[in-house]
Amino acid sequence: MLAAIFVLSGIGPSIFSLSAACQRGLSLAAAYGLGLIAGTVVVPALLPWLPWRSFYLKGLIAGLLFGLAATVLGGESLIPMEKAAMVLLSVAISSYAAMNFTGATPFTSPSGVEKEMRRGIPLQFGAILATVILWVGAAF
Amino acid sequence: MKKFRYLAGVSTLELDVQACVGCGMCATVCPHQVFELQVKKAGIVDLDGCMECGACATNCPVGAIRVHPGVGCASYIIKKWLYGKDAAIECC
Repeated sequence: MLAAIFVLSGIGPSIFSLSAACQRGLSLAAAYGLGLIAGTVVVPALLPWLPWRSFYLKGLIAGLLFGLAATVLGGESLIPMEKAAMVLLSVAISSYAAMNFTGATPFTSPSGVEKEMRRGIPLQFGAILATVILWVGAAF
Repeated sequence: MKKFRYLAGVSTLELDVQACVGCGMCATVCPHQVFELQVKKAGIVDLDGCMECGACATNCPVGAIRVHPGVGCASYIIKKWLYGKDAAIECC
């Protein structure tokens, strides 16, 4: 995933730039890392207090907050397209990671998990796709 | 545990009241108090509390309960979608 982030970040008008890969890649990697923390630490820790019963929605809200934090940490050099991509990546990663905690509780049912996965996975996939388009598009 | 609720209207749990002998085993083994013994027959009082663990169906002496049991685990369900039910190992 991190390798993909650096490759995507290097793509630009000069075909591929190693310095852009490092500079821009760091911002997107931060969004990925914060999204992962939101989904794997924040959601399980705050499970009863986060809104909605579906785990992917709990992950979505935590990922949104951490994604916004990543854009603030990223500095002023980021353009709106890049900020949107960072938030979307954080949301997708957090939502997917949170969804994987359904197996760690004593109250989730397989039918319920399957239902939320059928709703959550297309959203997460769409967010990743939008991240790629926005992030690469922002370089041009 | 009553405060921990999951999605409503999804459980596959079914009770055949005609076949029920009123032994109360389902009410005893259910971890979420889904069943209650009502006038010598079991009744489902909290369907949305069901986590489809299958303990009730396993312990019913007359097979009056039907449910598709399993673990509510996203990772397992993904493996089931990708590799089929037999290839996926229940991981959690």
